[in-house]
Amino acid sequence: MAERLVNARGMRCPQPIVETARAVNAAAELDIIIVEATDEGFFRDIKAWCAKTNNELVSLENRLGVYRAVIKKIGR
Amino acid sequence: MTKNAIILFSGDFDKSMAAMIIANGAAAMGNEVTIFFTFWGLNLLRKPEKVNVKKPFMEKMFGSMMPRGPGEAKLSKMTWATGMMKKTMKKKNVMELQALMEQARAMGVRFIACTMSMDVMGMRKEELIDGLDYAGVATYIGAADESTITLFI
Repeated sequence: MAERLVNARGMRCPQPIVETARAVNAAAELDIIIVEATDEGFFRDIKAWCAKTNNELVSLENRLGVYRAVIKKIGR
Repeated sequence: MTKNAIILFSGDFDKSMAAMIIANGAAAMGNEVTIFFTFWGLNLLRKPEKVNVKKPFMEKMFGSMMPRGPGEAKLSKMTWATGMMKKTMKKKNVMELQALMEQARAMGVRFIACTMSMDVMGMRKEELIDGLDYAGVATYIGAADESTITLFI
């Protein structure tokens, strides 16, 4: 299981989600993808994205304005 | 697979931005997205440079007055402030319209140009960017019928 960090800080909608999709699509099953973003919409968007694409949102936190999502890739 | 279909009628800068953000977002969600470009929306598909093609005077006139590509699109309101808006967007790190269009296509979003509108506006295939599909209303309805979201922008 590999772990990858996606730095989406400073990116605006829809880039954080686009970059998340890119990284998760390229990952192998059960890999961990960590996405850090500063766009406020990301906090809700990443939940919607994980629900829609059937990937597991392991954790999501707001660290002083940086939203950090830990995603586990679930094979489709 | 979930499908989405968008009709891009307007071609205005702001509305096109909205359409492209939705298309990119939908593609990132794993959806199969079709954008049907019609009427003013076709201007987004024009090449930025002038392409020499033989056409009647009226069509030539029309063509010279309409924006060539996303770089020349203007805001639907406060048209005069388009430059200011673009500057602000750049400063705030919003992706440019042209880049959003390219990214959408790279993610598999299908661009369809309405042939009837092309004919009315006097646009030839040579004047439009490469890799488009050309079709009519039945193709749109075919795509829209299978879609969970359809938008007219």
